[in-house]
Amino acid sequence: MHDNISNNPLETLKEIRKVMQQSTRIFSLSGWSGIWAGSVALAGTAWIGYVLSDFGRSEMIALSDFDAGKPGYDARPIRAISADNLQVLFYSVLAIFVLAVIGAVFFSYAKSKKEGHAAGYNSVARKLLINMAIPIGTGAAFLLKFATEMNYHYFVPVSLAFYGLALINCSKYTFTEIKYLGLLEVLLGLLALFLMRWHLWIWGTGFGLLHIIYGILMWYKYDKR
Amino acid sequence: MRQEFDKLNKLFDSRVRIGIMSALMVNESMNFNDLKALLDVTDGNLASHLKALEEQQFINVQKGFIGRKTNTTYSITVTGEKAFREHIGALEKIFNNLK
Repeated sequence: MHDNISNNPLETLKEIRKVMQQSTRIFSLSGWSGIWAGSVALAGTAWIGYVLSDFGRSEMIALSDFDAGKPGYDARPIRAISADNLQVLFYSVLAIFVLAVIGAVFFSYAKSKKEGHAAGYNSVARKLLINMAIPIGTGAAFLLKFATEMNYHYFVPVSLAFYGLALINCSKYTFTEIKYLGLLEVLLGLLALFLMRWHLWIWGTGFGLLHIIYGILMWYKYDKR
Repeated sequence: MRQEFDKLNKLFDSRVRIGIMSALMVNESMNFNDLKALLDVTDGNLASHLKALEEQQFINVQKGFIGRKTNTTYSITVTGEKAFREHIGALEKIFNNLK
């Protein structure tokens, strides 16, 4: 590799810009990762709805029958989810999460392979993962606590809000666009606080629809060639 | 035009040194191996350029350990940042005059 820089100032300025970018951000996240994760989440949401209707045997139970029975609210009695179904739900959510992550990692790995590892990759990837893991780990602790207390009122708001915060937090190490996806997830999470009966729909929108739309936009902007 | 060329720092007349300075401008600190991977150079080559920048007090060297392995990290100094900004400024002026 030659060491002398070219006499063209533009080439040198471009090189400076390239090194600055490569040493601070990775761009391996593929649009397909979003499309995959969103599709898994949508299918998962449908499955959860099916479980909540006791496999089609009854009307769907809202994730929180929070307001039921209170005066002035929907007077339907609280119908508890059976313990068996609750267990199915727990493992379903876990499976959806794992499937979505595995696919997302696979597509991104394939993309980085195709493009050749950008130099400086490892240190940036490490920062990205740490910045993502802190909010996600915190959110996961809340969800586990809810699960052990069999209290699902805030499952959807908390999962969306913490996931959104994780995306915002890692946006400085990858595409800045991911910050907007994060903001939308946080907003949906906050909205879910006030729309208790719409939790499943909001969950499907946040983890399913938004990911698919984001994935398509990113694929169109960066991957398509 | 002539004086802009004079403002170009001779010390930054190398792809590796430009790379080191660029990376340290936007990172608080970087270790030897990360710099090596980023700039795609050999150990000896990188070390000699780092030495030159260190002698000019453009970069700081912190020697540390991770377990038993040495971990040397580098960061930019105020002097270094100023010199590099001036260099970039001069490059931009030359480019604008060429247009």
